[in-house]
Amino acid sequence: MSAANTTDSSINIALRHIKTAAVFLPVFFYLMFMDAGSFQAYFFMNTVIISLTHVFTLGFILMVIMGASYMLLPVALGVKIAYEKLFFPVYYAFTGSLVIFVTGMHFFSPVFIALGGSLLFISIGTYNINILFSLKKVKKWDYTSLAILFAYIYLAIGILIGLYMSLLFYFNIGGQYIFYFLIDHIYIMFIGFVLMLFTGIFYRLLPMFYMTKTPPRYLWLTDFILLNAGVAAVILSSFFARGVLFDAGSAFLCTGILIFSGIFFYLMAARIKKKLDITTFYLYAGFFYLILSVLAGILILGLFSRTITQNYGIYYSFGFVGLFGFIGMAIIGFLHKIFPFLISLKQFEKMKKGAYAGLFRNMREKYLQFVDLILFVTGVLAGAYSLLELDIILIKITAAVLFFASLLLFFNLLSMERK
Amino acid sequence: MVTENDILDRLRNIIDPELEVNIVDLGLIYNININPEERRVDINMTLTAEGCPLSNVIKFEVEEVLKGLEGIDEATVNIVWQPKWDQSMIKLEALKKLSRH
Repeated sequence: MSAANTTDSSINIALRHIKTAAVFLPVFFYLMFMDAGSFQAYFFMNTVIISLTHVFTLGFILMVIMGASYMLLPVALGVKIAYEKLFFPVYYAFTGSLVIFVTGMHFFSPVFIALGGSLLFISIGTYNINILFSLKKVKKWDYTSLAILFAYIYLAIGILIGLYMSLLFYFNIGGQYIFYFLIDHIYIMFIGFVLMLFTGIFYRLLPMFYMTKTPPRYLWLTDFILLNAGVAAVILSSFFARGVLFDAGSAFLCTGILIFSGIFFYLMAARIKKKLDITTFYLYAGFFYLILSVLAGILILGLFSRTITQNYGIYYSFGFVGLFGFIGMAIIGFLHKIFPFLISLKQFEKMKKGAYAGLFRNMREKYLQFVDLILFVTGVLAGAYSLLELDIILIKITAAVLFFASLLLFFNLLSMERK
Repeated sequence: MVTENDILDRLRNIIDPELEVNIVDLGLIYNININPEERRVDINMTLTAEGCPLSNVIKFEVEEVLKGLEGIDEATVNIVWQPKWDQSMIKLEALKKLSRH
């Protein structure tokens, strides 16, 4: 692996994606504030909530993952991204199609939903193929490379289901199975794609940033098998009206996620670099919320369906803790590490001297970063409670606080670039 | 003429931004070859991770430090991956620093 794998265009496109994601985050909380009343309805076919969740999942999570992958995959796997010329066209197509899709969903326009869904499929699909082609050159198939490969296969399946569902709104076909497709889409995207990707990347980044060991082979292999078996069982259960296969799949996933959390705490406890930086706080908070969401998931599986139907706020609460509590915290935490690196690398290409000093300046602990951390971490708890209770006033207050926190994050990132 | 110790002293000013320990005490400098007649120095060094995105930046910083030494006109820095760096190469003092909260 040489540094040449990280190119100017990969630095610029990574920065572009991260800055765009930092705009979508406050937009998400603004919309959550405005549309808080929509949480009073069940999530299935609740188009305002679907629109809202896609602002976060695609506008923030996938936007950061796409940008960071252009930079991190060469670092983690030692391969160049296959087609760099696709970076910017895919970025513009993805951003544009996302706006069309969420607007269509929010105002319930079947044409816009189908059009946005199709364009999203094309743009994310192109990105996906680009990454899969890049993986062909991987020489060492260890946990990280395997997990990344599987994650991108899941992404391909997930967006295919997403395309089908978006076309359903316009063509009105095969609707009786849409609930199964929706659940499959959620499991594939968040466990198959995001969690699988995170497990692979975590085992590369933790040794780099904190000088941890790598996880024991028997442990990561068990985890890898459990997570994949879980996702496969959940998908297969769609053909058998859920039943025991779904429960088995969920049990595999819960165990796999708990093992992943255990590995994280084990590695971090034995790390050589003991200093607690802002990222470590986000990561610990993220894993706390991940375990909390697993417990909530077990509760949902264990409760009588009638109890759930009477209080579907538990779904929103579960989703919020899993999505924003874990994925959001982990991404925001790593942004505090990755963004200063990207800024310094960009400055280095321009002026060479001074870039190194700038890196230290940006990584220095800042008082406001910790204020932001407290707002985000407490915001997750407030969001979980208010969504569970379906208390609209509390949801609005939480959204307002998190809107403010995400604006702080945005300005923090901008301030790093301007120094 | 500049000595190996002079060079190591100067390189101690280059701090790994992530670990906050200088590159000498991290054990990243493998080999220093000084050629007084040609007024040049060649260094073989490594990085903590093969894919380190800062490798170009660190290499540049090391070259700049070497060129600033009296009696040196030319400096070459080779980033090598053999032997593979591991945590046992960190100097004891640096390890103690890393272990502090």
